[in-house]
Amino acid sequence: MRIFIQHTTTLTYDAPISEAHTEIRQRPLDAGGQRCLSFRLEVSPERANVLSFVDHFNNVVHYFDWLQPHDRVVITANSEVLTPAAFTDDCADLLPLERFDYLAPTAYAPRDELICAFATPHVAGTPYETAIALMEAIYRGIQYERGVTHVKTTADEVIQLGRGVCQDFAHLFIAACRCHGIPARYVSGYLYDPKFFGAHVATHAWADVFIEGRGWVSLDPTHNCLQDERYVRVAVGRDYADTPPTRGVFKGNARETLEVRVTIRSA
Amino acid sequence: MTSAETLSAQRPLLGEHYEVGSFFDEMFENDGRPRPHYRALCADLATLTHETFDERRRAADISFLYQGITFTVYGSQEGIERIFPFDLIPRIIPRDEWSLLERGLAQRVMALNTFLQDVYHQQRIIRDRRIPAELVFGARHFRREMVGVRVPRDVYAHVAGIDIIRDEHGHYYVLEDNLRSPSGVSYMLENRQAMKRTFARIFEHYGVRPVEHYPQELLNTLRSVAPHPDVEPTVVLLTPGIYNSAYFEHSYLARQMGIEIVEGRDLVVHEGKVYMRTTTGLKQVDVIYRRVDDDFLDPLNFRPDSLLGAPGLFSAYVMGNVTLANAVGTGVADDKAVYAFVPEMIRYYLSEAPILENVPTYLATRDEDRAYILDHLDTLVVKSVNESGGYGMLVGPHASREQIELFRSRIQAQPRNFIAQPVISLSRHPTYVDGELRGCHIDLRPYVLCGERITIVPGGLTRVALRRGSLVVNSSQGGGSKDTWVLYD
Repeated sequence: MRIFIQHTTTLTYDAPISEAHTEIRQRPLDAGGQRCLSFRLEVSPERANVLSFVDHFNNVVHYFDWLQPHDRVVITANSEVLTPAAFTDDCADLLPLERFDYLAPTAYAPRDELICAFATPHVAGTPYETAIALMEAIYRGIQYERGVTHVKTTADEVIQLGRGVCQDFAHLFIAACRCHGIPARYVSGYLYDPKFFGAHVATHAWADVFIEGRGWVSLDPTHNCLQDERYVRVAVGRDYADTPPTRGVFKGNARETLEVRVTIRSA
Repeated sequence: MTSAETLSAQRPLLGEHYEVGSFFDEMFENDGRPRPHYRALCADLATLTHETFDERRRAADISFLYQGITFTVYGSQEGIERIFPFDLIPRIIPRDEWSLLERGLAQRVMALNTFLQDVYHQQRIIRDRRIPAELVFGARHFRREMVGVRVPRDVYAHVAGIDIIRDEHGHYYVLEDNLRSPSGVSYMLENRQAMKRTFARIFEHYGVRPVEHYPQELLNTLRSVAPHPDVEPTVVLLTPGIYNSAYFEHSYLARQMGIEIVEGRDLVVHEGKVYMRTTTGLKQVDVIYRRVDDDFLDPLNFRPDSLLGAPGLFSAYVMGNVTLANAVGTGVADDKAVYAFVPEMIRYYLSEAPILENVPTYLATRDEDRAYILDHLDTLVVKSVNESGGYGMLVGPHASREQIELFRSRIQAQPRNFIAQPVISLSRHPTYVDGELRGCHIDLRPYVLCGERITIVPGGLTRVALRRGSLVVNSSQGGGSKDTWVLYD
């Protein structure tokens, strides 16, 4: 499927800031059968020179700074992506560091009693079936509801709340998979679904699990399904902290307001 | 003057009272005769009385105080600035012993740098199962952000401070590799100055190899790893600031090298390049000799609350526009559990036998080692893998019941954080304490520079444990230091 995305981030400050440095992870990946046909990034202040590098998860990072005083930054990313009918993995085996990183607990996906108690009953004959069972358990057990969780909510808090959004579903899922010794990673991206509109639906998060002999399999616990042609992959990591669409620091005593607008359409 | 003091003043310095004991004494054989390389020094010291020696000692102390050579002791309520006590009796290393150390150190630093290159790229040593993956990747100072990042000449540890000790037979061991920002080299340089002033005549005739060129060698090393070898690089020293315990050293080295000393707020990153603010505008910086820990280098990529670094510095580094010395992530190789594998690294990467041995080390992560450690807490030294400077350590034979039980529960709770070693009876050296020469335990920290080539200035910092019977020589634990003489022959 050919998908077009426009992702606009507006950062406003109630007092002037300076020496602002911003990292952007918004370029769709060329991996798993997906191809990024075009990517254009525009930032304001307009004269800022945008540089890029690849991070250690192979995500493309764009980066710019603006040293002079300012109180508004606008970042617009336009992507055109060709998605595969199904996620196709091209990884035969994990590197030693990947195996370590995708099994280790993280701040968002800890390994505590609550997580283990949640994960333990859902075990099936094979790791793949276990992952599917966990996905279903989360899909049925956690209610999708906006506004109860926030960007810092952790997987154990999601169990206590019983509610959350896609980021929370994904964190709980990877934490539970790791409890069972199944390497799991966080995927940040977009979901194209003509039934829905609005940024909160278009930006999405799900997870990959690594199954021995099969490779990475991409599962969406929010919708209880495998990644299909509607999914656009942008960044992967141990958890959300490795994949934020924007991240920055600045000098100045100001409050930041973040506004995100995403439009997504298919040709 | 009372008669007792008169008597003491006229008493020769090298009296009958010095006890070699059951230790390896650097100066004397077991039968009390001076070792060959100390004979001339002993003959000279024999001509001194306590009074003349004391005079010179006071003169040296005052000169240290005037120059502000002090260090800060952490973990005490008030910020204490102390003079690092300097002992006037030099430690002497004969040529053949130094040549062994020199070869062993170069070999070790070569292997450690290769290990760092490997760990942050192909990870061969882990795939070949020579070192457990979880030990490396679980190390607190492993920086996954460095995976795939190329650094100039593949050098990570540009300055290494390798701690060397000798046991009761005089056998040399490596105790620790310090690969982040090893400090103390300014004391090596200052101690030499003090010795030359105070014992000019003895020094002149002894055939001591110089150390004064260290700052120049350091600068050459830093220049040799500049990102663009064709331009004359601008090198700066990045310090956490005047409240850091080693600030004296930072300003001293910057002055000696003739480079700027900067704090994070003096730097600004723009379009992937690093600049320092000067009175005439921004000036691009190519190499940063940083004495700031990884965590504090860049609030965008590491600790967001840090004000000691510069935002965007790590991005500039990843893009290859600036060199950081030492590289980010060297701490994985001086982790005290990873230390146990350095001899294996030497065999694996260099296909050589280690020239310098490790102290035998038990890893609390290994079941059989942990059982042994827990059974022998009263005889072992237990170290926390991430602490340095003698903090977080249990010296079994000197520990109370409560301290031992505290470490027992800590080890059981977090085995990855602990290693244990047998107590090494460190060699001793005559040292002037409380008006007499006493045998005090010593170690040696030579500084190994690695850039275009490996350079080791002959000598290093000899640290001495001034508390009676103490085996801990760190400056923060009441240690002092001596000048270290490596002889031409």
